[in-house]
Amino acid sequence: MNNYWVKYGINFIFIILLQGLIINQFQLCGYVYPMVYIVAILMLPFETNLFLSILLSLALGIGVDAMSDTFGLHTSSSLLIGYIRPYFLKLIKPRDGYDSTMLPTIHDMGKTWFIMSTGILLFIHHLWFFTIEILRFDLLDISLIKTFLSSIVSLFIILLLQYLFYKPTKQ
Amino acid sequence: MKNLLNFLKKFRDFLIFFFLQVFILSLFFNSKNFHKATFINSSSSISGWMLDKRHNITKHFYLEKENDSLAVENAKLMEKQPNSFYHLQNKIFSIHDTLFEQQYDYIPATVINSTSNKRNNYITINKGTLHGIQKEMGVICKEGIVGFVVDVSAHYSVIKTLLSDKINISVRLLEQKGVKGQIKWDGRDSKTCQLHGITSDTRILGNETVITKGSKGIFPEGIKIGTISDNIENNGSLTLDINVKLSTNFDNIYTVYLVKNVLKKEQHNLESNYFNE
Repeated sequence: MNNYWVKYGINFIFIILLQGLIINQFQLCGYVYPMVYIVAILMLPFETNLFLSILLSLALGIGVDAMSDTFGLHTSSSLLIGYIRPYFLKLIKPRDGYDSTMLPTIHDMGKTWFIMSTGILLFIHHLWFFTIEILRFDLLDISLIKTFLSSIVSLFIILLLQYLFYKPTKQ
Repeated sequence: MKNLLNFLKKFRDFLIFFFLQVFILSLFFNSKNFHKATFINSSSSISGWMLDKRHNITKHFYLEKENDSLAVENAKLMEKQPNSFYHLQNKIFSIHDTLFEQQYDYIPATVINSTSNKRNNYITINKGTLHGIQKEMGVICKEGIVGFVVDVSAHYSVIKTLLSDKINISVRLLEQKGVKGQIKWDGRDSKTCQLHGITSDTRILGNETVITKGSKGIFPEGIKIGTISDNIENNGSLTLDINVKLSTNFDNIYTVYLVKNVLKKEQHNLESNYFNE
């Protein structure tokens, strides 16, 4: 398990740099702003306690904010995901609980489970981000379009990263 | 007391989450106010350094285009040099004209990080206090206006661009000098912004140029903002809704100039006696 946390720390820093240096520059059109860094929270093991999850999401958000001039917006959205993820996992728990040797990657949990759970959390994250960022009723259409399009692109990039950087856990 | 402790224990995580969230959101909403950008941003030394390294790799993709446009700008400036005029009346032509004194200095800088698809868009540049940059300096580029400096570190500064809410720039029309208004951005399109405060009895001919008024001393007078696009709506109110097509292309911005107003302090001191905030 110790080995896992070392690997997780490296991934954590890698994801902040990936978001800050490369993905922030994706300007496909005005409506797409992919945010993939919350994959660092989604890759925490199933039994992570809530306090640790909040602390890590705080660090993650500040790291991304420091590189993208959003003045706390990323921190706020990432805290939200860090807080609701353990409850969300409890809600969709299989009948006999999670296998503690498994990790929440696409290889261990299967495509359907991964896409569904990641998609829902990503959507909540993006919705929070764009709503707080814009915060006007007359621009509601724009914040919804941005949420949908960016969630789809983010999900696609996260799936790509899963196949590139993660291997199935050895049983 | 015991109940309170039990309560705190039970809701510890929620309370931590709640207070962090409130704290961070208050920082975020404060940062919209242009004097109070406090949260860690890309002018901090570590992230500034990393963005600078990335810029060192990617800058070569833009160099050719940038060189072309700088050459065009140079040619325009050369036309205005004294030696490109011939002397019509020999005696009254003087290069060191004491009628004009320097009011604005310009500091060139290169953009190392920029966005244009958010509600509030910021730019990071590679110059800071060591090069004489201060908060609230105006920023322009060769096509037009860019924004204000909101935060400075030793080597980097962060600029809030025109594409933000709560930004409000006094402008006038180039041909009709009396027609004045304010520029705001509604958050929809990074190529157009809105001109408010022009009364509906004004006749606006198509494609008029909008320039800065220079009344606050942040920008010099006559910096271009854009041209009025054709569809002017008169919705029955006292003022017109006018869309202005921006001349600055915020998707692709490379060299900017920071405006240093020599007389700003004098103007500010004088005005602060009469307008408090």
